[in-house]
Amino acid sequence: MRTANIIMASAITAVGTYITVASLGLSYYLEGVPGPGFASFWVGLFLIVCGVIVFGGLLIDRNSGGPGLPFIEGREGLGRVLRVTAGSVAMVLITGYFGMLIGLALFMAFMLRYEAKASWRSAIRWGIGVPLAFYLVFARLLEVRFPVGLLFEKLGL
Amino acid sequence: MDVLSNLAMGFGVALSPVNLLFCFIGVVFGTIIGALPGIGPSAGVAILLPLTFGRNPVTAIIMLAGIYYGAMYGGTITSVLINVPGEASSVMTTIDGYQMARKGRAGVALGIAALGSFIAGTISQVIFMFLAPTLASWALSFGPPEYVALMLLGFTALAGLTEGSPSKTIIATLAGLFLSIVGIDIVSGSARFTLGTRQLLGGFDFLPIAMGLFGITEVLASVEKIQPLEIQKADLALKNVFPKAKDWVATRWAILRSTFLGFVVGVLPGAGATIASFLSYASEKKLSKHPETFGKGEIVGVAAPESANNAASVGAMVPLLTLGVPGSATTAVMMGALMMLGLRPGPLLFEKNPQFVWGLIASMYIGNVLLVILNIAFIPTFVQILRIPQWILSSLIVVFCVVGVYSLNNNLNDVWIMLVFGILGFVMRKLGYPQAPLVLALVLGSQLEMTLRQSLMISHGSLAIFFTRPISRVLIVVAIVMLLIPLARGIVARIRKTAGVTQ
Repeated sequence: MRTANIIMASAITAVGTYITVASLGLSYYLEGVPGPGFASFWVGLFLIVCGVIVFGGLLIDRNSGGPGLPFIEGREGLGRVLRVTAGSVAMVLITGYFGMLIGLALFMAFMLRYEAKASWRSAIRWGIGVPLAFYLVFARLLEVRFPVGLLFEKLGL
Repeated sequence: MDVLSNLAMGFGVALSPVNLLFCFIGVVFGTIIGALPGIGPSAGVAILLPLTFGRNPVTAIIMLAGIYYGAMYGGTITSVLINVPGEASSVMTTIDGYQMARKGRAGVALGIAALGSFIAGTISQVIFMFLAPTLASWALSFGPPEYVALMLLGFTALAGLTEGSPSKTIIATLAGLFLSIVGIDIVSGSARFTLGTRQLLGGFDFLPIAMGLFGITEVLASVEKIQPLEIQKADLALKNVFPKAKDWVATRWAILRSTFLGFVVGVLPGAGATIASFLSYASEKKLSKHPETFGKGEIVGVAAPESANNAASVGAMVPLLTLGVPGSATTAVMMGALMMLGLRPGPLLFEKNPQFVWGLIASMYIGNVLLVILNIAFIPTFVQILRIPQWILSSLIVVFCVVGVYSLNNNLNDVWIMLVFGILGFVMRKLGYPQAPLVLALVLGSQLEMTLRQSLMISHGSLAIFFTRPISRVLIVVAIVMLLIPLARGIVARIRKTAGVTQ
């Protein structure tokens, strides 16, 4: 955890530096009024200051930042977080190619079958029921146009 | 008299079938969200926001407010029956609520919490009704410098009043301010931090970031530690839920005191329902003739924090509606929602959109009545919802977030932004960087920049304008004090530690 804290503090300082430097390319004052670079300059500068304070605090006090504590507790927890993240990313990718209904259906079925350890029958039931319910509420009731996906678009469906 | 006629007009708005339906949906979902551990009201409001798309702003705010104060009721169920707070403001209820359940008094604990919340909610709404128009008409005299000072106070109050590192809170605020800067600058027309992409020219939408930081982050945090919930067995028949006369005698003054305390704390920027419940519990313990009973199933220990958190949720609406400055994460999400729906919260609302304001106020009375009925007669139904496996709930939240964010612009890029901020929010949470200040700053960022520019235009570039005008001077001084609070706290803790070592 301490290492993660140090990395984060360094990243914040780096981002602050980027913002400050980049804002120098924008006008600081424009006809007596703060220009487009004014706010970003100060935001960047304060980010650097705060990042350095956090970073310095971690360096001075060796017991701060949770030394010895893992960033994510246990391999199982890490696995679950990664699988949900990967599943969500896959759902959006699938939505882009095959449409939202298929994306949602596969995501629900995957989560139910492999994470909740539900039976295939239950996973399929949820995989069909949830997209259908969302379709009815959002596409029918709220008139949101669900994406059909690149593939079906090309096929003209 | 003016107030009463406005209220009558508000009831006319709130009692329309659509608004009544959305009020009901809001309080039911609010109770469920409050009851589910891990999902707070800010996440709930963000996740369910897409349901208000296409509705008029009154209907939207009625539902969102219903979710907010409904969550305050729902949090008690898990606190009492599972010993896990449904949301942060129910932490104090867990201490005595669960002990009451172990002694076979779960029904009474839930009953006094619901009735205490109802009393607190109703009294707070009356105060709100009389206070808000006065505050709004006073706020009409505010100019840009006062607004700059007010927003700065909101940001520093978060750093001063929230637990954890103030530096990290300030970093989160700065991150939100930075995100609000991205896009075309409205004054000069320059593109700022768009990384050369067309998608960022319009800046970041508030909803994908809020849903990522609250919705997806909550899911990731909850799947990291999946724990089976052990629900305490309790007889929740109606006759066991109503408090007895001696319970009323024991709690009546605590409920009243906590109502006023909660309301005041709720009005303060950055404080909110959680701090209100902590303060009311601590003060009731101090005032009690038998403080040793607290923590062992003391009914006052349930009634006080529950009344306070409900009053605070009403109080939190005051700065949002009268000043246009949200004081908490949930009200920030609500403000973002209203801005998306084309309404600008602030003092002019009372003049220009009286139907909106008074419709909301009237709906809060109706919602409170609905909630007390739901939370007394239908507790067993809400307990059943707690039995739904966490994986199903987590999957449904992800699906809701994806579909909801997509619906905003019919654009998958928004969904990617949400996922990125979901992961970022998870990392922030693990490392102790709060998400609420980021969302608050994102919502207020562009307004802050605009009013800052206007102020400096008035003063020809002199910062003295913030100190020469009395209201902004006071607000700036309070903001500085707020910023110094954590520093003073650290020094006091260090002195105490040193004194302890020398003794």
